Amino acid sequence: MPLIQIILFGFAVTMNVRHIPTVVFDQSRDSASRAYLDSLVNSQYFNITAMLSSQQAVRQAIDNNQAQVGIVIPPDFAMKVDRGEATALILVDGADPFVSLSAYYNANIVTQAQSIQLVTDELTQAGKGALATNPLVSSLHILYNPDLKDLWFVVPGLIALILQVQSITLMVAAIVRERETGTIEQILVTPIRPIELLIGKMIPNVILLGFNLVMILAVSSIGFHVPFQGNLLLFVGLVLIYVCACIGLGLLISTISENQPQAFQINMMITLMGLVVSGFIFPRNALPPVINWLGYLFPLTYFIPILRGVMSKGIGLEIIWPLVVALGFYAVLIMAVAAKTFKQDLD
Amino acid sequence: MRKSFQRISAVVRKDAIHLRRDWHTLFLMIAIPVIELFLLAYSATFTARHLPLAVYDQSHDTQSRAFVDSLTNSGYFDLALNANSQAEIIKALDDGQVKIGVVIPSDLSQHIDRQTGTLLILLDGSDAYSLQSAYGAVNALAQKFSMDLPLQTLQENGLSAGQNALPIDTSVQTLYNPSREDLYFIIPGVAAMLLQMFAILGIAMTIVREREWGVAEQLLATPTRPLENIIGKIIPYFALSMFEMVVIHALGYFWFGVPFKGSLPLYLVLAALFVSSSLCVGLLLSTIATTQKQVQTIGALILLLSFLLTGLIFSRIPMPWWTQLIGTVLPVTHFIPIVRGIMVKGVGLSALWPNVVALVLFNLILIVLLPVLSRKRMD
Amino acid sequence: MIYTAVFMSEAVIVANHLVKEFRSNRVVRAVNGVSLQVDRGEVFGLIGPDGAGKTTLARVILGLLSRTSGESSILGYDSMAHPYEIRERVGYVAQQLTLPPDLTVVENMRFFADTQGVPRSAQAKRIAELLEFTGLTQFMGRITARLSGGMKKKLALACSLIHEPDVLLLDEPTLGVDPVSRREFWALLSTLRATQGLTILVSTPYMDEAERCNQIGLIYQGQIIANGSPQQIKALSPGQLLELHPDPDRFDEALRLIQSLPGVAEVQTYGALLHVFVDNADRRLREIESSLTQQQITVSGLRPIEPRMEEAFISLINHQRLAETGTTR
Repeated sequence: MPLIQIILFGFAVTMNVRHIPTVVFDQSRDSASRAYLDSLVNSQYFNITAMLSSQQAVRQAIDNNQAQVGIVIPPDFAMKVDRGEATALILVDGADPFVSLSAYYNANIVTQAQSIQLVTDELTQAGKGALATNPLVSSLHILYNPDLKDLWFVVPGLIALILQVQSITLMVAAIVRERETGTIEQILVTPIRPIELLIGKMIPNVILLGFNLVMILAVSSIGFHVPFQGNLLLFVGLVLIYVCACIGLGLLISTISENQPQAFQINMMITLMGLVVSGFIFPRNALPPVINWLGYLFPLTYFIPILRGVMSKGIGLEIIWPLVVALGFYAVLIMAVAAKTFKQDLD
Repeated sequence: MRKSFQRISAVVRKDAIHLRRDWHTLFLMIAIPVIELFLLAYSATFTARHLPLAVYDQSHDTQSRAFVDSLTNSGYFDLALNANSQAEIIKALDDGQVKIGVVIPSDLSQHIDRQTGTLLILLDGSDAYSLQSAYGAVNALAQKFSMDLPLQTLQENGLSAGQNALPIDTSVQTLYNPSREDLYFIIPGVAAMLLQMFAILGIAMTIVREREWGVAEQLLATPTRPLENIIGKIIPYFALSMFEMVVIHALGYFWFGVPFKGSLPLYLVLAALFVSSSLCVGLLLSTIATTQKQVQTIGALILLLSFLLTGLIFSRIPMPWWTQLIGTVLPVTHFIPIVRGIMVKGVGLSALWPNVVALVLFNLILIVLLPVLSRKRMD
Repeated sequence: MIYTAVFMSEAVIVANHLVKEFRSNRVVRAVNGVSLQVDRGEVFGLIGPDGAGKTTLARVILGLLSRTSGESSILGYDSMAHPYEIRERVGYVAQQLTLPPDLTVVENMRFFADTQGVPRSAQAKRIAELLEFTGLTQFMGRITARLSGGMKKKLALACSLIHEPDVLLLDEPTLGVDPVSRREFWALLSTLRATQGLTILVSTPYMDEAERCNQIGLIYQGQIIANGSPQQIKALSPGQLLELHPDPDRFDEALRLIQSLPGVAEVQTYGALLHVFVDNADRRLREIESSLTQQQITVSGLRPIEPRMEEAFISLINHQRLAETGTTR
């Protein structure tokens, strides 16, 4: 099942929106306006789906969700361009932040570039080409993930999330279920000690999770070409610590919940909260302090930067050790708390 | 038939008692949406601002400072580190201390005159999310900075191309949400998703739980028709879902200030349609799952799917066709445009009817399930 | 006399060559050709070991499971064709505890009353009566899950009676209940039969309860292997019964020795005791005693006893097994 999730999300989640459906009301329809529209389409960000005949219609199309961007080109565009005072009106669907963001910046960038080109052409024609060349070239390099593939961002987070959810679910199933059906009484009659019971429950789950993890990694590296730059051994060690932390959390939940539906609710709540506060999607530095602090309660929060660092950046222990220590500390702490509550519960 | 009515109301009363007695679950079911709402409202940022920036300025002249200022003034970057070497910048990026590094060549002004300067900008690609907005911003700013120079030259040489520095300018209007409040986007979507989860899981759990308890067998031995049992269960959950919806929207409007531009009566009708379609999905789930644990597992899957594939956060436009297809299978995918449409855009039925049709289709599941649900025997 | 005869022979619950198959990995015949008849006012006891098919049989007759072939009906209503007519007139207590656990006693009763269409005006009185009848009045407001096992079963009984049914179907109602509660429960059943003429089909693994029924059906592996009054069943025991307590150290030896003696039909172990079925009690008693003494096996408490249901039952099952597989294991 986690496999399915990874495949699904790997393909689905994109933050960079291209080929935005766009409608156009071109009141000039001359070579200048056509050149401009072409430049927009060639940027890959805009996909012109219809040429409409009024601004009203353009607005309507956006209202109806048929397009997310609308362009209105004034009459006599070519003339205005020559005089250097052409303005294109671009309407952007503000209900969708990804789209509006993408459209906003890319419209600006493309227009600027188009303008420069026009100026350059004009100067070259006037024999002053030398003046038009850019004295300063800006060279943009994106490290670790040159194509800015969203996947490389999402997949580590997803792995961590899935591991957490699974650990908790497995522990809850193991303990709360047995408590409900009374099986636990049966086991307690044997000479087994609570701690042995716990470990006995944990080990098969850890193995199961490990197996899941291997599969997920295989899919993400082979199927999605998400890189794995870091040290595999280090990775495995870190995962083990993380899984222990998650299982500890699962144990704690099991001891708090009275019955299965309740445990499930709590698990859901933790997952939902984790999605938001852990840095899985939304950057943590932008969170208000209270929510930021809340993130520390989830093992997910510690592990995501670790995972991203190791998988995408290939960094080693020397850089991430504070996080690792924190995670280890968390794991131990939560296991202790959970074990204590578990014992009390049994008595 | 009066007896039928009596039986249905008996089930309604019984399930209401169940809900009341299991108030822990109930509390969680209501508290979760509200907590989630608040969390997301305050956390969801789609435009990352104040990203830490490292600069290795080898020029230290007015022009280089002007460029750095333009970066920090945009609001997207905060100067976090004044580095003394490129290696230092790279290390800062590795550490995660900064997300973006700029290397300005020495003697910028001279280079500009000789037309040989290169501005190096390094971005942390592992955090694609933060970078979406940063990339656009830094690209635009760098481009503008580089462009200003030849334009200055032009003007100095008396060859200005007119009033505007650039021949083509854009006026970008963001509709519905000019201030680009992320809240307007997030809250309607979250409200819809949580409503769906409550409806689907609530009804599935109560039916499957009855089966696990064995109560289902006892009920079969009474004159209660199985359909009467289902109707009796749907009623409290429907009422509760609508109540929850009102609470969440009241919060959205009064606390968060998300506008409600459209028609309230229309919205209520469509919301009811949405709740009933979610309940239908829940009924379907109850026929597939045999244990409560299965319901939970599938529920968790639906939750994750709803979060990521339905247009709640990530736009559906760039998604490959088959993920879009999966999204279509969830009622919330069709309701989100309705909520956003009515609340934020203020549009009406004419714009929303395709989604409405989709929701109606979901309710038809009930008809398909009818024979299964009305089984009067255990096998 | 004729009147009584006619009255007594009105068949209320009827099964005719009833078969129920379950199809999963392989076909399992849980009910393999059962025919029985319960007359009005009778208490019919369905006795059998675990997995014999008691629960399945009850469910098929009630119409909770579909039958594979044969006939089954209650009060003339066919189980498959008229399930709701049956459910309106029959009370059912399932084997597992199937009452909603988080409802209180009185809430449960009200629920079943509403479900059965008992008019609101009559509910209060009837509920009070039933609570008193089952001794649960003081527990009216208690959550069902917090009742003891015996009380839960009594509550289930009360709920099944709320609509004043003519027939009661009870599937192992006293399983796991303490002996005192069990006796109380059966006292309730007797009262019901005596005062209201209820027809009762009850399945139970307890032999002593079997004695209280008018008619008994011994069920084993989906078939009725014996059917009749308790006396008739007991009479099916092979001969007369002797009981003895041999030397524990030489138990097996004693067992084998006695088995080899003539006139011994069957030997059953009963804890540390041996139960021996013989054709002639006096004669064989002496023979057993002498042969044991010959082997210097000490024995005590050698005496004839009345055959009880249990012995008859085990004997019948052994015969069945023998007929099927050639061994008694």
